[in-house]
Amino acid sequence: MNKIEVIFNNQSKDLVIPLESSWDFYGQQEGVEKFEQSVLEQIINKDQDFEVSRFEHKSYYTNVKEQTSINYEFWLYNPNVINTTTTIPALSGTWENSYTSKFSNLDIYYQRPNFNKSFWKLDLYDTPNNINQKVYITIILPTHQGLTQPSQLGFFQNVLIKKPKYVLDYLGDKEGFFIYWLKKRNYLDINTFYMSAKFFNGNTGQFIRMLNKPQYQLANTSNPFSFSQEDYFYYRVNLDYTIQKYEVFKYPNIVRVGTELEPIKWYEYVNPT
Amino acid sequence: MDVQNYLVVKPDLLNAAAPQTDININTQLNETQSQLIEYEQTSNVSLITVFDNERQDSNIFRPTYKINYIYENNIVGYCPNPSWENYLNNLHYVDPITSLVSQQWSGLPSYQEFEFIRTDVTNIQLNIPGLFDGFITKSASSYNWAVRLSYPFENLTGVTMSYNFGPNNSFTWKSDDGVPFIISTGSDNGLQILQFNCPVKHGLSIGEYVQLLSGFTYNNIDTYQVYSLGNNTYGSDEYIFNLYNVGYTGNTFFSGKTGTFKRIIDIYNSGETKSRYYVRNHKIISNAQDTITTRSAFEENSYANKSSYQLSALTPNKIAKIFQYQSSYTYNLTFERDLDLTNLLDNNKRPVSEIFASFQWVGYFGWHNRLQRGWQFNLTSGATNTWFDFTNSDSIEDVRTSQYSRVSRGLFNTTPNYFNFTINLPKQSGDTVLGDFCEFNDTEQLERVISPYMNKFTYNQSLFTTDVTANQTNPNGFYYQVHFPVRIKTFSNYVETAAPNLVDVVPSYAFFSENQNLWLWRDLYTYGFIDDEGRGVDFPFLNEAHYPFGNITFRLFSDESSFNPIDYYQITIQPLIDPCE
Repeated sequence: MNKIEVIFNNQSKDLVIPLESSWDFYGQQEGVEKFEQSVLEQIINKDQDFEVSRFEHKSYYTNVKEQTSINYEFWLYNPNVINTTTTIPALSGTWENSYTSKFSNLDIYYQRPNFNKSFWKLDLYDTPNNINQKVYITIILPTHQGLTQPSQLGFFQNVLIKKPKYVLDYLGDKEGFFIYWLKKRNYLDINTFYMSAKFFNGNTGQFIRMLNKPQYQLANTSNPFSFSQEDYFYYRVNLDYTIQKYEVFKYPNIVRVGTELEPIKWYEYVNPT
Repeated sequence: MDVQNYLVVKPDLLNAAAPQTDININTQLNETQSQLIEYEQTSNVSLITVFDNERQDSNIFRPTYKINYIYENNIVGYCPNPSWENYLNNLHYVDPITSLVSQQWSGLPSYQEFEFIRTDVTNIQLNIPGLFDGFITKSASSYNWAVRLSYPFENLTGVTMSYNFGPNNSFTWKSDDGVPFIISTGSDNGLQILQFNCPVKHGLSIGEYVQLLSGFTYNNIDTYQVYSLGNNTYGSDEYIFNLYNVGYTGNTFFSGKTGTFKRIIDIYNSGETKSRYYVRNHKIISNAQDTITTRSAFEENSYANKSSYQLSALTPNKIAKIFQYQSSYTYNLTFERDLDLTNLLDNNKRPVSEIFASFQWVGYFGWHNRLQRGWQFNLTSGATNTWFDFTNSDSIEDVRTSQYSRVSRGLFNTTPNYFNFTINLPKQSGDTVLGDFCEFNDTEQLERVISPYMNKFTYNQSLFTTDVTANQTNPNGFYYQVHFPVRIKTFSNYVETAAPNLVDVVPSYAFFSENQNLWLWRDLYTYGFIDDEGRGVDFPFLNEAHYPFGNITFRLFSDESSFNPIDYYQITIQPLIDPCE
């Protein structure tokens, strides 16, 4: 409050009352433009980079030789081949690295539709917790890829038929070797995925879930049908965005797998009968 | 604020007993104005405008190329004694019965020795247990070829060039000397003319001027006006220009005399309208691991794959096999890293308007010598140009090499024989490589490629002899064009001008003409704009990046070709109307 002394002399006086005024328009237009940009982004969505990159399997050394292949083995349960060492009656069969427990030799050799249309589906989730997990990447391994095993057609004809052992690389069997995922991390920033496997059986129209261990090796030996899904349904996949490579590890431990000497092994989960 | 009247009464005048106190005057401030910000209330949302703004602002590029690979594996050779078995046993034997008798097995190498992706994982060249790591599958696409991105960043003058106008008539000049020629005399509709034959397109128009270098001064004049073009044969107007022979005496314009010229558009402004000549110098901007090479699905070119069945009795190692020596595959190239061209300037200090896919022969499997270099005019039909003789140091490519050796003990495990193999190590990001021979005119603001830059690779004659003559310093080999451009921006088809004081509207790359007292430049078209001549770029823009695409016909052609390799570049357009009509 300003104090003004009025000296009386019976004359009219003018009081000048100063009013301080500060104007603050500087930057207002820029602010409005930012606001406009913000509104626009809300209305028409901000531009995002959804380009995908090719992530390759990180190289490793086997006997001093640099290798890049990723190796998968799928073991299917054959109840007809009795495993005498197991103590669990419900799992008295054997897990075999072969399709022969699900398909006939002729189906496999001639790539009949029931075999040819079957495939392995590898799902990569953001978490191993199946309550809130999302699948982000799916890799399909067709049955026409893979190594072979000797077999017989009839009594005399020795042939080679496909078996569920995959050696995927830059050359040869390539489908499923690369992981195609977002190039940049500003939309989804995930570098660890959890991989589960299923076999879609064209013979039965059903799918089979796969475990990372045979059921007789689970921790709960007394009841191999009750186990932690998080511990036995997944392998861990790490993406390295800098060098655009990926590696696969056992889960929950940290041993690298997928190499020639330590392939990624999947075993059929057998339901109690 | 309005002026208001107040009556101030002293307290003692109002009431005699009242003490003297301060008096407050309450003033009312009535504001009747408020700022109205209109742009807050009216904003047009246009998806097209927003998209276009983002597109024009982006300097991120993700180029993709398709390579239509055309070659002919037609240089026959043989493995001299002692022979490196891996080469000897992997040939398509062209005359096996004769070879069986002579025990000199002539043939062609496998198609694998040419491919962008090798698939011969069992090739023993790299698979010697305990000695070499073997075939690395991730390197399958880099054993033979290296493809990098590059852009021209400077002009090189003083680069030595040479052309053979005929036997014992080799002419050597520097890149900034201009375009070479050889003189012949003739007549044009009865008028005597001096005919200048150029091995490359001269780029001249009738009425323009040429400054002749090296001994063509006549009466203190070295600049002459072009009278006519060509010699009445189809297409010759691009390679031949004529001066009116006013009766020159002496030996200044003798037939067979060679030299170079520089183009001048306006004789009254010869300083500014004279073209500059140079060799572009490229900078590599991507690395080996950035390039992703894949087969283009099942696409093949129109030339067939070729293979032969070799009977066991007609091979040196007595093993029967089906041997493929010619392929027709097509490839795709993409790059892992985004290309950010912000503030990148080209060789003429203008914004980069082209990026190049630059090819380099690596030859990891050791069949070949060190790379050589030259320009398209150094290619001659039916014979190896002397430019590419190993004794010419100017033709040796500036590339790092590496060597490795193998030992072979032969069939009876006798005396060991050692074989040395050369690799042309791929250039990496930051390295430089020569480029095309070009002309630039400041007043036109236009660059013209006079002759593309070429590389040549030849077989190592001590391993695979293709030249049966005694002189093996200039063997036949394969040539390829090194740089393939993809346009990412387009300069306008007109030259923009501005007065000297309008500096704020002139781009940084404008040329100031003192003669015209004007700034000169060509505008850059915006992305998506195509002018009425079809100039401009309109490739996809998404994911905050541009996706330019280049369709490259990559030709590998040899000295053994029955055709003139230069014909590859001079496709004669058939007339629409029969000449008889």
